Amino acid sequence: MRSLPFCLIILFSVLTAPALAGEWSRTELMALLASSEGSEQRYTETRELAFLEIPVVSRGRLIFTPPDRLVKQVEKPNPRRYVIAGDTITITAPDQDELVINIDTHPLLRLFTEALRAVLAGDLESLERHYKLELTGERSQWQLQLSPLDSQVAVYVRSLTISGRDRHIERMVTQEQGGDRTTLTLLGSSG
Amino acid sequence: MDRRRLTALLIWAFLVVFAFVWLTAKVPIRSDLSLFLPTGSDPVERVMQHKLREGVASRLILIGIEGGLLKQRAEASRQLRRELLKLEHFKRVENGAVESLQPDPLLFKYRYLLSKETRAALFTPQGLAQALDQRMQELTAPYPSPFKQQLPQDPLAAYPALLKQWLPPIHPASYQGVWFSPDQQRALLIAETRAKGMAMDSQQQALDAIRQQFSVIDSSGQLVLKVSGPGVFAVHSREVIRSESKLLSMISSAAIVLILLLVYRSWRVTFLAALPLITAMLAGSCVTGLLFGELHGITLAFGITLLGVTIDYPIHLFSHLKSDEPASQSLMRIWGTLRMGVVTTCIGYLVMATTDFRGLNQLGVFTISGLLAGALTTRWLLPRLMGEGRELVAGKGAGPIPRPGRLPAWLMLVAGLCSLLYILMQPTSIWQDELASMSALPKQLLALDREMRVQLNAPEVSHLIIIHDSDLESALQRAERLESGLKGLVESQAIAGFNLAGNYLPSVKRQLERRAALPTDAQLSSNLEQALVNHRFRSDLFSPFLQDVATTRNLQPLELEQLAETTAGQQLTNLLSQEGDEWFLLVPLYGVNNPSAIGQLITQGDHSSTRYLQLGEEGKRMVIDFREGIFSGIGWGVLAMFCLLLIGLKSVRSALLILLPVLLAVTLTIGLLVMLGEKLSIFHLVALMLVAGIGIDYSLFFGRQEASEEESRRTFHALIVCAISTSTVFTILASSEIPVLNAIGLTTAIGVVGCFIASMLLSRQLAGPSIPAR
Repeated sequence: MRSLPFCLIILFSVLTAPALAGEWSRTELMALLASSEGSEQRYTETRELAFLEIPVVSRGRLIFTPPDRLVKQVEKPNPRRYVIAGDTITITAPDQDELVINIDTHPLLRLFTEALRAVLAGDLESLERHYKLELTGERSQWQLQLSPLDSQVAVYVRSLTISGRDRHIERMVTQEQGGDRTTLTLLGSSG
Repeated sequence: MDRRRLTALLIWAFLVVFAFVWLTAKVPIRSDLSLFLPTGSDPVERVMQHKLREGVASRLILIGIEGGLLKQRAEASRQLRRELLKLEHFKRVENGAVESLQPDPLLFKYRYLLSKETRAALFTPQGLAQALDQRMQELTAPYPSPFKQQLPQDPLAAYPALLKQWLPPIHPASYQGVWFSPDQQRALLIAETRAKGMAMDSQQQALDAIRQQFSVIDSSGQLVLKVSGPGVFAVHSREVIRSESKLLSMISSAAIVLILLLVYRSWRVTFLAALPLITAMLAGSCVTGLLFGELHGITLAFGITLLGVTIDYPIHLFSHLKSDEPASQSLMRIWGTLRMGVVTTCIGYLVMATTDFRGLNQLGVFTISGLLAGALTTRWLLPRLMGEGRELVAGKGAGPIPRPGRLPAWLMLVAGLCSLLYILMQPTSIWQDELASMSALPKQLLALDREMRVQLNAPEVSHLIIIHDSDLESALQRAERLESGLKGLVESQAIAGFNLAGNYLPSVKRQLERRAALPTDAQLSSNLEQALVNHRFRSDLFSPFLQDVATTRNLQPLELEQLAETTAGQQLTNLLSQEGDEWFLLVPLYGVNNPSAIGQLITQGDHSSTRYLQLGEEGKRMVIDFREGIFSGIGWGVLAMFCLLLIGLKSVRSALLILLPVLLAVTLTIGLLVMLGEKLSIFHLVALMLVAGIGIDYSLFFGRQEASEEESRRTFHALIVCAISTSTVFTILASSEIPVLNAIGLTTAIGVVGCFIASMLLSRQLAGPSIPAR
């Protein structure tokens, strides 16, 4: 007779566990990401574009300084430096004039750059405003998929999938409409 | 009340009710101000005024959102824009957010003809290779390229270049994707109403709509809405003037009733005194409505002011009532003088009815018909209603008219001359030429407007080049020839920027030049093949591009009509205008530092049909023109009055002695106003016309040959009552802080007292040294 409440408790916890775990780990993941104090990592990036005969592979360093400064230093094949800070993107390349783009020249720019920075800074609120979030896996191996809520933006970007381990982001995959895909793999600290 | 009186009253009441019903049902009351602006003589002036009145600038509402957090303000700005765009009141609402992400098919199709970048060098192997390098870089940027989808058709990125070409030359600061003040405290939007800025009812509706939508968006009440712009100003001043004049007219009416009651001790008489005034207002409105098909709010307001003189007519009658004669007989004793006064004043306004300003025409007609109706009511209705006159306490209250010697009369003349000299010797202009400073607006509102304009980087366009020609193509070509000069001005920092219609619609000639720069199919595909050698693009990727260039080579140049529905077309409506057979291109100049450099550019070379306008100056000139119009009207009016007096009095001396005190009083009034530090505006002028009308009356009555001392006493009594009641009413008006009401009140109050004294001293000379024995 004592087994009935016991069974109910077991049943209840089995039913609610995944939901609780999911909620908890999304917040926890963001808290984890937010706790990192900036990073500088080497990366390789592969772009598979329908327009191109062969994918473009590039290498370089990715430097993030919380809350909102992201530097992408492309070293190969064409050296180029992108600094996303505040509301501007500054592009510098050897033998070229510095180019400054306001991220509001196109909604796509703001949404995309803000998503990148929000993930790196662990800003859940900012992400949830513009993306549908889906977290799978567990703390030791997780995957977070962002799908744009704005239909105008969804025309360009289908999803952004970020996977990692604990507080370390390992890979970002941008899936664009038309099958184009960019995979950025982080190789760990460059120091 | 006997039957005859009752019938008379009933007929009058019936006419009044009928007129009132007809007016409210059939005569629209216009409230836009353009009727009171001059129409302008040359076509360029007309275009400019048209643009001023109905152009975009007049229809803009500047909106600011303050309070809350930056994000809240930005989000409220976006929501407000979305909601307002759904409403029919607004043609355009902008907050800096990118509008459409998809290219406009028509503009995309014509991109090579529209883009300034189009030239043969772009299509060479080198040009193409360079463009492909650029595209490759964009594709490998750390963010997706917005123009990626169009890449196969547009590897030269001609369309993005076109969008860049259309960016406003100067634009506000932007945060979170929308416009903000540089300190980020105020999100900014610009709404363009469909209605003209001076169409006040529609502006009111648009403003109400903004406030209503905002209150829905700001449900938490943390944000604050600020609005400004010409329409806002117009609506605001109307409200202020309306409520204030309502209050003041109630107080003045009470004052008049009180004075009449005190003087005549009779409710009946006080009631009767109002009849000529009521009749005059209705008659004025009806005749104006019949002749013009409409009635302007300003005509109504000024007209009623000018008809204030009709309250004097019954006063003259009442003071002359005797117990032993019917009222009609009392009236006949003063009718000759009264009639002369009315006719003389009417002649003055007749001149006004013939000026170039529709508003003044209306005002003239309104006043003349009102004055006549008021006089006729006094002549025909009042005696009937009063029947057998009962002597009122009246005439006994005053002594006989004092009989001033010659010395005071001379002193008066000297004072008038001194005043004239004082006015003429003023080192600065005595006129108020700034339209803006006449406004009834509180200072904070004007300051807010300036502040928002600075933050929006959108000062009122006050510098403009107008190019005109008999056809659009020639005008566009003229503008294109001017472009390099204007670019030079930007480089030398004489101006910060300019906006040319050719950005949106190049001349046919220019479009054909660009079309001719496009290579043939074979050339282009071979060039492209060479350019692709070192690139990873798929070899067949750009066949849509080849196709598009081939299509463009067979395109006819784009025409104005085709653009109507596009963003470019919207811009063009602000930069183009057709008046009759002439086409006008407007080139707004921004951030002008050096007007003389612009003037130089225009005078050099073949710019014969090109004009540089500084609108601030032009606005001033308009005010001056208007004033001069009234002024010459007054001059002719005075001359006409003199001729009429000459005919009526059959003596040059008499005519002079009647007119002179009025002119002296007006001169003294102006002198006093100047001494008080007032700058004279059109409102002062209107008030001075009222003063002249009243003055003629006083003068004629003072100059009357009186039959007996008792008569003289009655006349004096009437004149005192008139002067006291009129000056009281206008002193009350002068207490207002609204410039318009204050100007009219102050001028008339001073003027009436001046007329009274001047006529007493001068016109009295006419009456002779003693009362002739009867």
